[in-house]
Amino acid sequence: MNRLKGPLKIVSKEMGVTFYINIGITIALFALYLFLSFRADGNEYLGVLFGPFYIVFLVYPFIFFKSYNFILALGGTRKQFIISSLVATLIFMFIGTIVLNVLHLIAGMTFQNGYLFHMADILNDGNPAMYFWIDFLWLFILFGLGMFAQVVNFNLGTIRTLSLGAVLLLAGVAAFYFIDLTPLFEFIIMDHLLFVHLLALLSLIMLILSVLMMRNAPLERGDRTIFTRTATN
Amino acid sequence: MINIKNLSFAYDKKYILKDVNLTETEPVIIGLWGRNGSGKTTLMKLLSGMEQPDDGVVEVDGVVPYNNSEAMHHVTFMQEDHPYSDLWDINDALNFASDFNRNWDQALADELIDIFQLPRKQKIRKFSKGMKTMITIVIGLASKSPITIFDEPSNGLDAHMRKQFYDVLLDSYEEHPRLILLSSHHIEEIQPLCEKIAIIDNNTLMHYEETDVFKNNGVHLSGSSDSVHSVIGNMKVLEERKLGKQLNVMIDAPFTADLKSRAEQAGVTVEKASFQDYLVNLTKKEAEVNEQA
Repeated sequence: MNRLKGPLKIVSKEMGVTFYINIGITIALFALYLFLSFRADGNEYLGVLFGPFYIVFLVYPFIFFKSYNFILALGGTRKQFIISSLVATLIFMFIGTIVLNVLHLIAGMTFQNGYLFHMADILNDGNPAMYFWIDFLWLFILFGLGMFAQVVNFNLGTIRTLSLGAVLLLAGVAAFYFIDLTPLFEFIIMDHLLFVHLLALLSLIMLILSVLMMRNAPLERGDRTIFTRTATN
Repeated sequence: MINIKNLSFAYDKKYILKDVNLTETEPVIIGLWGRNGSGKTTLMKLLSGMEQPDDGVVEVDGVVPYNNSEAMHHVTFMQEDHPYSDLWDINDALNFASDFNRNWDQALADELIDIFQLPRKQKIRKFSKGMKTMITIVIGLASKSPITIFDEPSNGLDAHMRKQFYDVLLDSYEEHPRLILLSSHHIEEIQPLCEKIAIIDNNTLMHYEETDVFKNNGVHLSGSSDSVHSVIGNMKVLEERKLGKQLNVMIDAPFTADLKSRAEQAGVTVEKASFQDYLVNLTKKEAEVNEQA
């Protein structure tokens, strides 16, 4: 743990500012919804609280990746960077989940009219623990996706990443038009809990791939060579 | 302390370093000199574990530095434009650096911050180039790392601050001897600090000698072509310039009393070449020889 202390402090410093600003925005959003609840009719939909947190965890890797250079420059390793990034993110994820759900619980007790949508509402399960778990899973899913995108971007560079993205987009559009996706949409709605867990598993796989790619990552963005080249003088 | 054997490193299909060999077992201050693009920074990155060798062995203080978290306690590499977060002030930088170095000397860091009069609460992103260099020097020296590497450590410093840096470097070295590698374009300035000089050229380590060996070498001779040739005999000529019947040369030989007297007898003006000129011509000549080969 001692060897992770420095890297963890560096990554946490980079993530901390965004996180605290995000808590401020979420509380301000909550205050706005509270105010609106006094003017809403009956069971009117007011909005969502999780938006800022979900967005930030998706883009977090693009924010804290600067610490890669700071850690290496102070003598740290790529492994220390990636492990401390994951540990710091899990800590912030846990705190974020608590903040979101405590505010959601307070909303249930204080709002005069109207309601806030929570991703766990799709499950029709009133268990408060499920609300915490679903938020945690979505933050994890979004972070895994963002991390994988940033790691690919860092290793291959913007041009190669965009080319890859374009191919994936074309494949997605082709699938949408040529394959009957109705069973998939039915599965997403009917077996939502399983769907979210499958996404979390996919996110975990992307994180493992990210760790593998970062173990011998280049120093500069886009410097990863895919094929071994023979050097000359 | 440093063990480099047959080290090669290529980037973008081109060798940056090839077959580099260097062994140093004692604490010493080494000056690293080479022309732009010669591979100095790459060598320092390899020594600090930032890059992985394509071939060969790199060991610092008995450990292989690449992807080895133990190495952070053995080697510190302070870069020319050392990266600092926009969010950091001096206290942050020192606090984080202390976590990466087992031998960290906070008292020395505080003392150096006072000597360099650096503002502790100001964000480093607002520092001038010279101030950024100073905080980099502070971290490098306070790390008391067994192998401490500075890339262009005096860049951006005024003459007064340079002198202060050289003084604190020597004081710190005297108190806590370690291997310090200084890479600089201003070889004349750091040469008095260095016990040894390493010269990188043509993608490899061409010379690694006591500073005195280089310091005595390199002599300018000027006079009529015949008389200059009579003095130089078989000595290696590094640079030759003809101005009418006048010939100016720089030779790769020690500046001795014997050479001086022979030159004076032949009516040839003789003077010691500057250290920097000598190294520039030495590497230029070697590059020409290699190209012809």
